[in-house]
Amino acid sequence: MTTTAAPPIVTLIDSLRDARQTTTSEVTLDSAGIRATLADGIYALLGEAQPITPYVIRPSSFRRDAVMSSYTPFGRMRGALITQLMRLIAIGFPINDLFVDAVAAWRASEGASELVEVFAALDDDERARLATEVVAHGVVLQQRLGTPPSSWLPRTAVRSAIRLGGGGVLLRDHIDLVIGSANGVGSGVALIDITTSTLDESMERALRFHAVVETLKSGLAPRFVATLSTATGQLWRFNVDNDLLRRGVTEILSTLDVAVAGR
Amino acid sequence: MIGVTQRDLTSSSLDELCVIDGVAPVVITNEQRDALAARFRSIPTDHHRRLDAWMVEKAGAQSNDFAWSPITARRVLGNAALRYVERSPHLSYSEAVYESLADQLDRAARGHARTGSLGQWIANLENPIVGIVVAEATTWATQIHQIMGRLGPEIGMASVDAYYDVAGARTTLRGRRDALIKSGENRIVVRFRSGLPGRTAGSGLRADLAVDALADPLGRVAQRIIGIWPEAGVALALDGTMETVRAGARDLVRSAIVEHRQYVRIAA
Repeated sequence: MTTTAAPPIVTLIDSLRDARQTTTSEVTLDSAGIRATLADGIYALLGEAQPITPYVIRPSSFRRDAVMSSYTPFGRMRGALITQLMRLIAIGFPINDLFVDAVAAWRASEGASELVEVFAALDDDERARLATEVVAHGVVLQQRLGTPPSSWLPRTAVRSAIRLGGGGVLLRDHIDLVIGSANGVGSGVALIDITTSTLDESMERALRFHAVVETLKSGLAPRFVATLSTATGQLWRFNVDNDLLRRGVTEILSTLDVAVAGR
Repeated sequence: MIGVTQRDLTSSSLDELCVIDGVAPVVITNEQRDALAARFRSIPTDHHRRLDAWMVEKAGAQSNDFAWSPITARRVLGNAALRYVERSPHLSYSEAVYESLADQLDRAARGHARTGSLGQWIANLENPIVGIVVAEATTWATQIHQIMGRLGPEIGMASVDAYYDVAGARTTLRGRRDALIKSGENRIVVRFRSGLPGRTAGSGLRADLAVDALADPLGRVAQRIIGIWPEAGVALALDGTMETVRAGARDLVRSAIVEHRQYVRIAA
């Protein structure tokens, strides 16, 4: 019998470390160019009339049809708890009990909310099922994420809110983990999304949305967007280039088109 | 720059906001201080009033429902961490946050922290919540320090917020300031804010600018105040003219009037 050592698991952080060594194509699209394209597109859809309430576009706007199970209260609780674990891992904070620590951190972060009330109302069976799911996803997260060095400037749960079209459209985003710096002439920023769903095409759209919003927010396009599924351990990483940003802009406008038609 | 100027957070816009060559320095006189104090004294109060830009933006509403949370703690801890980083550049942001956390716990342990203070709150937290507090403060510190790096080499953290106790009026004004850009006698006050700027964001900045000037022993008004909303990728700026300071002071007086009316209504 021949025994071989198990192949080492490549973490998301390892993958980004390798990718940083390679050169990427120059991104010529900047926030002004993207903003102008979006402004033209929004004007074509909304005209001069301002909606009474703004159209809000968020990552879930691209994922709604594809992964309904993630948007049940149970799926949202699981996602929220895994996000808290990710935040603790990203700063190298010791975790004693995946579920108990995640719940304590989540309740402190969330405060009083509808989802916290749903959690409080879970019966013992439901709570046990949630606990086992969170632990299973948490183990994958611990194995596959890796801890970013502090020199990579990790930021967690980074929110964005960009007003466009004179306030008629609001792009809202929440990125689980941002690393790298956007100072100087180029950007070394990586935007990382952790999901408890499986990865599919809708996740690609969400990643492009993240890249567009970050470019609008900071004035510089990020270098990478990446995602990790704690359901399967799959990692996806994309270099941000002009094509990715253009597709992101087109998808935002098509999503807005659907929302306008639906009102 | 006349009125509120809005800019995206691009490097060229930030460079532009830091140019204050054409803004003449303005000074608040003792007579103007006395006139302001008289206005506040004319508004009755049976308690010590504390007014700030938040109340101006919320039209005098009291922040009675304030509670410490990882988000409300991040500015205090994150700013303190950045002051550590300025003194000891070898510290990472998270190490500096732990230092500022340790300072708060030390004050609580020595009995110097008052009830309801941040130190008292942190001292009673479960371990994982401390982790989230550290994560939130580290994110705040990293984000604002990155933007500060784009505002030029003369920027530094403000050591404290501006406080001005109005003589004989039982009123303390608080002006929040996160960073200062100093060049000789000139200075720009920088504020970092969460979320999106609302319609009253300009009034809030005016109030902060006015309190900063009142807190200066010589009454020197900062040439400009820049409010930065990192989440929105937007900066608002106001020049430190006498007109701006007067408007800021008027808004604070108006907040005191609204607050007084609310107390009277509650008492009735």
